[in-house]
Amino acid sequence: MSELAPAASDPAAPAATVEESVRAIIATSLGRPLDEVHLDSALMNDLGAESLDLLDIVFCIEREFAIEITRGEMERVARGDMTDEEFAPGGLISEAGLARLRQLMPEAAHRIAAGLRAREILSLFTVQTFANMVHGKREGRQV
Amino acid sequence: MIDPSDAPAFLAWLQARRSTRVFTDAPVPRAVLARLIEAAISAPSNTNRQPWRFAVVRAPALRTRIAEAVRAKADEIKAIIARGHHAEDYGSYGDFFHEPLANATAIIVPQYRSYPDLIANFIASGGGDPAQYATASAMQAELCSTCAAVMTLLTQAHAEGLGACWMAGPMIARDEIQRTLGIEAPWQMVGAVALGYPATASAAPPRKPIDRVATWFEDDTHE
Ligand SMILES: Cc1cc2nc3c(=O)[nH]c(=O)nc-3n(C[C@H](O)[C@H](O)[C@H](O)COP(=O)(O)O)c2cc1C
Repeated sequence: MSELAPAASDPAAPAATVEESVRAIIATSLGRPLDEVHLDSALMNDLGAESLDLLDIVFCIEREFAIEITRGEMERVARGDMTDEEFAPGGLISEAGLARLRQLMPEAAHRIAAGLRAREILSLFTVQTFANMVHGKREGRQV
Repeated sequence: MIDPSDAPAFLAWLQARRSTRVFTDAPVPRAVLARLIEAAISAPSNTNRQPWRFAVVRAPALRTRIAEAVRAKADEIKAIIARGHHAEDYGSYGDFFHEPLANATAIIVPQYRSYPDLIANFIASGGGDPAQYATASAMQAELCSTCAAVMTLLTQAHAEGLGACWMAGPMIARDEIQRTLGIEAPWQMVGAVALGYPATASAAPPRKPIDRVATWFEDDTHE
């Protein structure tokens, strides 16, 4: 993971490098062999991450790419700029919320179905979701 | 003695132990605390070194001083974290540093010390290089032993109907607590245990299922 650092923090680095560094960070954090960590692996469901593991990963990614990722941004990755009330009235994600999720997290589309609750969103996060956050940050987009 | 046929019930009893963070004002009798220490020292230890000590604090002013020292440090780091972009993630963690201590009616501060690595010295005495071998120090065996003692203490507390919370949080005020309790090198505190009679029942935090934490080797085909 550390030998990828120089390339990864170079904004001109190819996209694959970001994906590969994020995979490596996640594999190391969760103590999983790299070949078990795929871009479409869901961190919680497939890789057994707990919410504290996600925080560990966020801290590693921040250091690796010299970026900052707030909790609000992680939530926005999933729900865009919809209000809580539009997105998940009473905690249950609305039809519009589900549609927004599928659009923003196509990598997790197959897990996005009626009945999903707002607090379960983190369970949708895949390796690709984290890589996308890094790309967004490095392109100066608000993620 | 527990009859082996009661083992499943014993397991259920172990599983019902909770970290308790809110206590009534009922004091814990000295005799009960003494039994907790008896339980603690029944733990196994490397070469039976018994590398542990326990400060048992019932005195109210001293308890307050310890809890306040921890709260002051917790406030200090909370202010630092508030300046960063993870303040929201930090959320209520700060409360876990001192709150159980603040309303505990007894606090036990376990301590451990390390010893020279006996086996390493034996190896060296035969002209060997101890660095070539992983020995007890590679697993911080004295720290492990003291943690085993703390676990038996928590188990006895459970049997006594006490609530307890073993806490790493108080480490932020380590220097002040060690000074207050006269803990000096080579002794080092291993967190603190807040104790008292539970005021409320707490829900059981989930456990990772055993298939995620245990690897079984039952036949030799993996070789
Ligand atoms: C070494 C250690 C340190 C801990 N530190 C704290 C702490 O600082 N504050 C706290 O409230 N709980 C602390 N705990 C308690 C854990 O949060 C608790 O054991 C865990 O959530 C599981 O809950 P249970 O003990 O009720 O099964 C600690 C536990 C251990 C073993």
